[in-house]
Amino acid sequence: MDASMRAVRCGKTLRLFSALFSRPKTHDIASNVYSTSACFKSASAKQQHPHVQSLSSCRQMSNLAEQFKAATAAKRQAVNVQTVFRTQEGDPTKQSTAQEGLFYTVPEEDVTRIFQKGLPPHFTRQAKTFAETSFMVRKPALQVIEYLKHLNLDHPAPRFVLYGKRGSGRTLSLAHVLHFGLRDNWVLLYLPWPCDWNKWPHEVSPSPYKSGRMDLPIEAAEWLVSFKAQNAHLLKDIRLSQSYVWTKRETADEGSLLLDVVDFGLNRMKFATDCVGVILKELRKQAAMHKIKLLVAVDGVNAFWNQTSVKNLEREFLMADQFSLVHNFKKMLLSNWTHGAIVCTVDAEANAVTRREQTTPYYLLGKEGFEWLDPFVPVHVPDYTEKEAYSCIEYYLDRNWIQHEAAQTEEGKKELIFLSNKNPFQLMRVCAAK
Amino acid sequence: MAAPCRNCSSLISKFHSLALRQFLPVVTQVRNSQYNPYFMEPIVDKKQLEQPLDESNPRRFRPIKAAKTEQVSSSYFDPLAQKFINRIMKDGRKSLARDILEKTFENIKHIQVEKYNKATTPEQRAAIECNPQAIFTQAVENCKPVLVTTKIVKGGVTYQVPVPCKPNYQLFKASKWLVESCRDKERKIPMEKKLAWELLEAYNNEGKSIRKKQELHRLCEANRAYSHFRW
Repeated sequence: MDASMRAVRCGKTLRLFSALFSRPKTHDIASNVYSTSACFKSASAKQQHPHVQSLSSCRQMSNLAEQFKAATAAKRQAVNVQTVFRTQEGDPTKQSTAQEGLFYTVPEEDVTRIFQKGLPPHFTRQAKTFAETSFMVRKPALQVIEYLKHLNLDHPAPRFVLYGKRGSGRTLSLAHVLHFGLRDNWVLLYLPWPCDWNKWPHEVSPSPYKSGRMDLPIEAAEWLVSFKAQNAHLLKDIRLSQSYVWTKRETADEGSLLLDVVDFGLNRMKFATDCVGVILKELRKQAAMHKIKLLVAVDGVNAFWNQTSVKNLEREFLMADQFSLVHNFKKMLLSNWTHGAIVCTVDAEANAVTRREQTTPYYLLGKEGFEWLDPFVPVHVPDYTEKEAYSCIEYYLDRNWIQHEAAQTEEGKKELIFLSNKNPFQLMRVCAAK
Repeated sequence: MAAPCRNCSSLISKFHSLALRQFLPVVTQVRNSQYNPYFMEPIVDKKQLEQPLDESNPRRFRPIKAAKTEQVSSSYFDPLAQKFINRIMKDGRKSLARDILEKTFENIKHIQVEKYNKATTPEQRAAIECNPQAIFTQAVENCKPVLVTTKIVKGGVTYQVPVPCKPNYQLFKASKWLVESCRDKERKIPMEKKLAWELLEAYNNEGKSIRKKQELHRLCEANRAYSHFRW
């Protein structure tokens, strides 16, 4: 081979090299470069990356082996850049796709207010260890929040159903939406996991209001406590539109405060379930008068159309809607009221073991449930993207959660992502022992 | 013809070893390696694999054992932890044993990282070890005995004679003590929790397993007069 041919071939290989290494890599790394300024995009554009520099120097080299060595060294160097994983924008009303994949810290008072119950146990335990509660800003939640922001409240309440694989982050997406609701002055009607009522009800008693229905006084009282904590500041001057008679001596008069009904339910547990029904009815009326806007959030809504573990006198298992609590909340899921929105998740874990094969809403809700919720906006919650997975690992490293030295290297991070298949829950479990 | 012959011989050897085990419990070996001693251990570490072999390296000529399922080229691979998992394991339920150790590490991290995040000054923070692998390794190291006793019969009397402990037996004893002292604790507490506490205690040279080691050392010290019976 003569010299000119060699030169031509070298040129070809060089171009191939630059195409292989420079274009895609510099692009996605540059978008991840850490910068202290708030607007990291412009900063990263200015910053000349070491990787880019060494590539340009590598082009001047003559020996192919040397070039290859330099290119691999540059590649190794390039990936050890600290990526952005946290945003200072703690207010979900102001978040946008610019913050996608980044963590934001929820203030402690918001957590105690909304999430006395409802966050997954693994997550709560980690939050305690990390000494902060942080959510990742992800696309499904942003999508729902965007809908809620631009909602015409005079239309019937729209319904959103979050669905996805196990551990893909439906509950935390719902939690993110709830945090938005709190900041945007929505009245939150949040059921953390109604499946528990079906499986392990604390106490079941026949309803004093309607025969054939069952009351769950303890669960109702628990819900009243959390409802009061979440919404007391919005309901101070909400008054009843009609009077309700509990017993001969106990009545709630027209024009009395709604919060008094909550207190009554907490003092007289027997009527707690009926109080929930009254509150929901009154809130719907108030919403129609444009005084408040309602955000109904149910995690694992398919539990409403399932069998319970409670038997009636004929020794048949009750269906969930024979609980008056479920009956009342099912009314909230119909969009025959205005000035509000309904966000639900469907979860295979809320179904019986025999009906957990798919994760799609129609399969999980069944025909009856699907028709009850139809029409709704399905929102798919996918696994992490590459950027989100890296962001999560960086966050864990920042919180001292991943301690293994190997996790500092690119190879170690890739292994974690491979092992978890980018599933958020699996990534959490894989990182737990490292 | 070869096959039945081999079966026959293996049967005989099995019977032979069974009989021997009954009458000479100390002498017979219980388990045999599947491999001829000529076989060499596989290398799983990627960095070690990258290094070239020189001309006279026996790895070039001798056969290599197949890697076990737990021997992986992961950057998180820890051979000591794998050995320890075998010690935790009951009835061959390895995946359960692996889960227990992983959850143990998680618990250790929860305890230590929480302390770390609560600490205010950098000196306090520097004093807290958060790495569960480091804690585990140090805990096992702290539990290793230097001396053990062995039974030696002299003139019809059995003596407990102190002898130096071999590295393999040290590891065995240390991990056995760590696991056993957890099994003695409250039954209803999950193993991963108990093990996390025990490892943290052993890391600080405290706890049940460390006491067991010291007891053995004390016995050796008391029997030092018999130490010449070794020969």
